[in-house]
Formats: sequence, C-alpha cells, structure tokens
Amino acid sequence: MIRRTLKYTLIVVVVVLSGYAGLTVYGEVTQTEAARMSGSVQLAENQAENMNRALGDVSVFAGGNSDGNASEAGSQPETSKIAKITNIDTLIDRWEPRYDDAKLAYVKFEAAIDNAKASTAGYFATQQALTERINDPAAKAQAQEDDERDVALYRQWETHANSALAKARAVGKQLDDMDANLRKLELRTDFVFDTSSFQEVPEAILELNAELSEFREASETIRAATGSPFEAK
Amino acid sequence: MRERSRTRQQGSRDQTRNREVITLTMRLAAFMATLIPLAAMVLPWVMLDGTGEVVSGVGAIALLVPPMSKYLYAVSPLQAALLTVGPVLVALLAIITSYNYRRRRSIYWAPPAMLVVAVAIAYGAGDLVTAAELGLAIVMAVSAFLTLHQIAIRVQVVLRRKMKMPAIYRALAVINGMGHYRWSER
Repeated sequence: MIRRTLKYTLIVVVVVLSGYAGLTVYGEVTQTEAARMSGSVQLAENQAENMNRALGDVSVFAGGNSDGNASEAGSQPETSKIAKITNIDTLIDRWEPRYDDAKLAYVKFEAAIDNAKASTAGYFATQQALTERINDPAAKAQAQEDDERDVALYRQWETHANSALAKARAVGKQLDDMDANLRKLELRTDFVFDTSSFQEVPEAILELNAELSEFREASETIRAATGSPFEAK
Repeated sequence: MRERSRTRQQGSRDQTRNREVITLTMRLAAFMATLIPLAAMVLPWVMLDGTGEVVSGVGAIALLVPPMSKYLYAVSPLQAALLTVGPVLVALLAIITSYNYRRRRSIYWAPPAMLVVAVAIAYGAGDLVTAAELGLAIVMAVSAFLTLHQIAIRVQVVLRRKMKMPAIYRALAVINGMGHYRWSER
C-alpha cells in the first residue's frame, strides 16, 4: 500500500516536471526572431561592457591618469603600489588574475558578437519573408523601405562591433606579449644569482606602462563603439 | 508475577510499535527528501553572466536551444555542458534515488553523485555563472543529507554483519527508516 502510494507520488512528480520542462523548451524554441535578436544584441553589449571593465583592471599596470573610467579612477592607489613592486613574483601574482580575466572577457565578447550576428540573420530573413507576403504595392514599398532602414542600422552596428573586436584582438596580442615579457623576467630571475637582475623589473614595468597606455585608449574606443546604434530592442 | 510479566510484555509491544512508527516516518521523510531536488528544478538555480538573468534548473536545460547554446559552448564547452546537462543529471539521479528508496533499497552512489554535480554547477561553471541561487543550494543541502543517510545505512550494515554495538545498530535502523532492528543481542 505504502509502496504503491510512493510509486504514484514519484510518477506524478516526474510527469509534472517533464511537462514543465517541455513547455519551457517549447517556449524557448518558439521565441520570436525579434526577441532572440534583441537578447543577443543586449548580451553582446553587456559583454563589451564587461570586457572594458576587465581591460580597465589590467590597465592599472599602465599607471597615469585615467579620465572618464570609473573602474580605473578607483584604482589610482593600486597603480602606484604596482609601480613600486620590485619582486617579479609579486608582480606576476598581481598580473595573472587580471590577464586571465581580460582573456576570458575577450572570448565572451567574441562569442556574444557571433551570437548576435547569427540571431540578426534569422530576424532579417523572417522580416523579408513577411514583407514579401504583403500584396498592396504601396504598403509593400513602405515595408521594404523600413526593412532597408533596419538593415542599414544593423550594418552600422556590425561595423562598430567588428571594429571593437579587431581592437580587442590587438589589445589581446599586446597583453600576450606583456605576459610573455613577465614570464621571461620570471625565468631570468630564477636562474641569475646576481641580485642586480631585480633592478630590471621596475624598468619592465615602465615598458608595460608605455604599451598599456595605448591599450587603455583602445578600451575606451571599444566602449564608445559598442554604444549600439542598432536600437531595435 | 503474571501481572508483572504481562505489563512488561505490553511495554515491549508499545516500544516496538513506537519504533515502527518512527521507522515508517523516517522512511517516508527520506523518500520525500529524494523528491525535493525534482521540485527544486523549477526554482532559481544560477545567475547567468552577461545577461544577468536568473535561470531555474529547467531553464538551464532550455539553454541548450540555439543560439544561446552556441554562445555558451563557444566560451567554455565543459562549463556549458555542466550548466545545461547538469540539471538533467541531477533530475535523473533524484529519480533513481527515489525509485530505490521506494523499494527500501539503499543506493550508495547516487546521492554523492548528485552532490558532486550540484557543486560542479555552482563552482565549476564560474565563467558562465555569476551566482548560485536558492534552488541549487536546496539541491546541495538535500543531496548532502541523503549522502549522510547513505553513510548511516552503510554503518548500520557493517554493525549488523559484525554483530557489534547493538544499541547503535538499533538506533541507526530506526533513524535510517530501514526497520531491521529485531536482531537480538547475544
């Protein structure tokens, strides 16, 4: 009796859960193209913002003034602390998490832009198919004009996104170079017995400063570029 | 003399009945606990990075639908698999555990496996997830409780085999809801 009751309880729970899961997946599959595209574009913009923040965190290594960026403005004392570091291990300890975050943020940004591009392709295909179904020539012409305006806006967004991605890629290469430089310094300090090698570390930081000022500039450009003109949300 | 014996017998029967009731209650409680992860599937599980959206266990399965799945798998295939397939595994393990508990069978590997999957979703998918939510916390708590239950059953089985510590064995038998506490102390 108890066993049977428990059996039916389990069956009911499993059936209800399966039904709910089925409805949720169905809702996701049948989501409109516009909603899907809007979500993708929003995701790309959020990831651009996250990447900008991650690059801002790395740029505390660059020192100097950081106008207009809240995450950098708050890191001034940290910048001066980093500039005073003379131990390569301490420097790498500070560098590594920021570098990893920046790399991950780039991967996410790239994936989000690809995702947005795929979604918009579906949206415009559906939009075009719907326009084709309009019989009245005047209304059809008007609809085509609207479609073209949307496509033009999207092309503008796509250009900005591609440019931001290219800049991010260039910054990523700079970061890779800096990482390699730091690793080389670490390797050298491990094997050179002369303590004067430590004096090379502050020099390396100065070199990083020079490279990262460019990188900070690029991150600001990315931030500006991802203010999407493609407002169809 | 006979009166005293009858009273003693009556007391023993009451004690046995009480134990039976507690055993049954514990058995039902353990069974209901196995259903909790299934119910928790509709509660918020994680907050997604990038969208800031809170998704339930079922919602995480729905992330397998493109284009979101393409994005997640492009960032990290392993973490995306954990996030999207993990809830399916949790549900299957909960059903397997529940089915065995219904038949009064111990299944020593399922609750720890469920705990491992839940912990992996919460802490192993950090690149895609910013926070673990209530539903996942409930799954972790319940699977930890069921894991303890399985450990208690294992201890009980060992004590029974080795005929040691009868008092602890009996207490465990009642607490575990297994009901085999008639083994007599020599």
